[in-house]
Amino acid sequence: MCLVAVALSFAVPVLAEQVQIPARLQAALVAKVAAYDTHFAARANGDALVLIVVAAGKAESVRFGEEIRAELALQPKIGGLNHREELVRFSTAAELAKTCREKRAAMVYIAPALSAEVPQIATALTGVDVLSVGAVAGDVEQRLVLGFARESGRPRLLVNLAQARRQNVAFNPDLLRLVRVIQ
Amino acid sequence: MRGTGPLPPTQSPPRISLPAGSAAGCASRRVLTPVRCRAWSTALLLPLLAASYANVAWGDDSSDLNALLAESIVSTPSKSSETTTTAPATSSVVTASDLQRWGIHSLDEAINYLALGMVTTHPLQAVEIGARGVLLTSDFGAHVLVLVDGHPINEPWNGTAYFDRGLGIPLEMIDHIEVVLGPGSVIYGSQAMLGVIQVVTKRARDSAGVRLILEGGLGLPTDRSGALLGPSASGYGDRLGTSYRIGAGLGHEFQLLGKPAELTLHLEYFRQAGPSFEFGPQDYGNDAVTMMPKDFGPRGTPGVWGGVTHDSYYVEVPEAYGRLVWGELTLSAHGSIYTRATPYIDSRVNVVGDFDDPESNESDRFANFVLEYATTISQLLDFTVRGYTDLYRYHWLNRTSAAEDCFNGGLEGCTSELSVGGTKLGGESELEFSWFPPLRLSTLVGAGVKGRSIDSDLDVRDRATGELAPAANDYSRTDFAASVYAEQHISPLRWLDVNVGLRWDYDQRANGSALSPRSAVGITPWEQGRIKLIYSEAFRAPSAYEIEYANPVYQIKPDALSAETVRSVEGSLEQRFGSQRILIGAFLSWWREMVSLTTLDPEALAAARASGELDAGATEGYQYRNVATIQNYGINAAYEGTLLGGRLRYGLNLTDAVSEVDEGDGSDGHDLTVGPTLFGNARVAYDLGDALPTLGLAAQYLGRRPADRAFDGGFATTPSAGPHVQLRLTASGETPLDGLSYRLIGDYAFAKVTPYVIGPNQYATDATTPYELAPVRRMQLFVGLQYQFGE
Repeated sequence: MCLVAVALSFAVPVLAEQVQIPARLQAALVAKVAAYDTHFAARANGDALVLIVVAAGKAESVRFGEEIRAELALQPKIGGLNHREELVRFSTAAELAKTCREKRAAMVYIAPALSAEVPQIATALTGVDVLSVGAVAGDVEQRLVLGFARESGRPRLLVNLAQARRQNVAFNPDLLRLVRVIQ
Repeated sequence: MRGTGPLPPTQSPPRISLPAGSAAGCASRRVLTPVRCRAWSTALLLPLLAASYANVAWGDDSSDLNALLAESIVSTPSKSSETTTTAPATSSVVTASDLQRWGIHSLDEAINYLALGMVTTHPLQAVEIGARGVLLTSDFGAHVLVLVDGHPINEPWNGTAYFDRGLGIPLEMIDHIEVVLGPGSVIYGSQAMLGVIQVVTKRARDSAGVRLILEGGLGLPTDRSGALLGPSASGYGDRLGTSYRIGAGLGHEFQLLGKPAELTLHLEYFRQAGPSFEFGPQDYGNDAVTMMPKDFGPRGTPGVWGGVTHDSYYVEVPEAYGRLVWGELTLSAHGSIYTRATPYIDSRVNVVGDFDDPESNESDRFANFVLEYATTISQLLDFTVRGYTDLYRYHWLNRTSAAEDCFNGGLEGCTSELSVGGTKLGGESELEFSWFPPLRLSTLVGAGVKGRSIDSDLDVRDRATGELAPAANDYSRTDFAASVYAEQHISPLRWLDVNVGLRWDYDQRANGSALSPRSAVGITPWEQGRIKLIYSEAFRAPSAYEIEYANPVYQIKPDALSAETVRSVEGSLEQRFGSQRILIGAFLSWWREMVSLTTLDPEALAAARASGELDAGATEGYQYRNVATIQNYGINAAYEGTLLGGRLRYGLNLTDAVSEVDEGDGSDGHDLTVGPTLFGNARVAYDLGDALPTLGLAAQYLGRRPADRAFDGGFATTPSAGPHVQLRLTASGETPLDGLSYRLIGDYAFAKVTPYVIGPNQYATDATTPYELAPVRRMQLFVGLQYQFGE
């Protein structure tokens, strides 16, 4: 077995892309977590816009985008604020950052099947005042600010603190006691 | 005895499929009235409710978020990922952390110490399982469907599933266990009558690297009364039980031919020997053939059963489980051999046998292979197809030195061997439609087909001459089953979920088809509250064993068996208060067409003799028939939560039920045997933090239980086992050496017996015949180490 382990270790690790937490629970969680972002209210300016970014032509991505849009729409408040959701198809990271600035999005929600683009998205969002959320756990390691993992059958919040600082997201310490911090 | 075998002519045959039984404990009309019982249950719950409200008062703004993070995610109730709160069934989840924290080694321990609504009993052989007050003794787990990563592993011959070490899934591979109560045939078909248990194994990223496991244990011996022996007792070292477990596993993600892949693998070997027990003495008298004191073998006393056992209680399980995921393909392989010996004779495994014979044992060999392809076809549609083959071998060996135990002679006794081979080959496919996200409108449609091939061979060999006895119970059969099912989910309102489904099964073993509907409505009437109403049905096709078993001494084949069925109505109210959760539910179920061993009337007996199905000299005859019915109702409740930032964890589960069986033979109805009517568990754990350990204390409670021979043994006093309390204390944590963790476990049972009559005196011959109940493993100690390295 050790030989197998050694042989496999020469291969390049690749994170499989799977949504581990159902959209319904993700929406409920993000609606609560947003309130712990001390800059969220100011950023939203009374009406939080959530941009949901999907990969064009990827069925699982578009479907999750539709699901999370519906689930978020059912949330009475997000971060204690009224909100609206928009679905956008990903073209380039720079274009996405531009859209976030122009529309003053409070949150950008990255659907599955965009993991390969997430590093570029994170770089483009550096300096943009927005809370980025990944539907896929691995995307937080790729520098989205917030994500969701399933650990032992229960949801776990993942937070990339370094990227949070770069996007003017400041979480209340009460939240950080409940999350797994990704450095 | 699960297969077949000779029966002492001086005794009545055991009832193998559906037990005689009775509820006892809290719900027994002979002990406490149900009203008093409910009052007691309510009294228990009130402090919990108070504690919950108190916790709200202590709570802060994070209580809602805590409530969401405390949700368990399950996929068993509807095959889609959802929280236990919204799932269309009552379910509980045991996580890998729970297993570690409370010192759990096996599925039955997880059920007993941590789960809601199910319970197992341990008669020093394969454990038995029941749910919500219904435990069908000697069913060998056939009324619970067990899944490992979605694949049913009940074997194809008798539908048996194992819940102890015989499950054959390494503990360290388990991510979590989903325990779903109530009929589940709407999705899973036959056998999901009491419930469905799914073991979900870890993904490679959750078990990345290589791990090595080493665990050792001691089982302390007891005397005839069940009291623990002191170290100064004669031969203490020899009577001490020992066990060890060694294992190695890995998890690794990599790229294979341009696609992401992952491999998880674990190999393990477990061995337990002892402790020794002291039995009897049970006066038996003369052998009916030789008219000399019955010979109980070289370690027994002629005419008397009993003594101290040394070598006849052991368990051995080598096991392996591996899964390779490559893109959209998943290949799983599982193999295990479960060998065990029981230190006594009883009505379940060894009806007869030499005393303390280490050679009398049974073993099950499993090899399961599953290949699955899952893909998203479009925004609307997901597609999954799965093919599988399950290979199974069962071997039972029984040696007896007594002539009366053997077919047609064998003055020096005989050796009986039952060898069964089973193969299951099948496939199923599913389409999942996601119609309209705003309404959460989705449809699951599936179809499956499987074939099963069984070969059973019984050899009874004269120990003196080596010749085979003419009587045998050999058979081969191949049968098929097919199914089609659909499930519809819709949430037209934010506070409303509706799930309806219907499954049609055709099974050659059931001589027909079965329809299994389920309707579930979930309502969120207020914040963090949930009400569920569920109606469901399930069935179990007769097993190949029940269909084919025959014995010219006392049993003929059934004419035609149909499927057992159960209908259930249940409702529950769940409320979350921050990280606290309380659930109260009630259930009512009706069991029909239950397979039961019935006595042939004089006409049928004469016909069986005339046709040669029974020996000409047979004075009694039995046959499996669909005759028994069971009525079952009760309540269950659960409370769990965390405090101090999750460092303090606790929980409590309670079930109180009444189950009455009508054997269908004209006798009065009575309560079920062996299973408790009032049972539950409680747990608390505290993480001391830093380098200090996590301390976990878990407790199990079982109410008074009538023994398996309570209503048909004819004993002057009704055999029963008193209330059972068992405690498990665990300390676990990391050592200063990086990657090395430990568990120290102590387990103590206050009870001394389990509700199984053992020894040759299964039935009273007169008012003075005593009975003896199976002993309990009173105290066990374990030390475990795990070393994790790499990645």
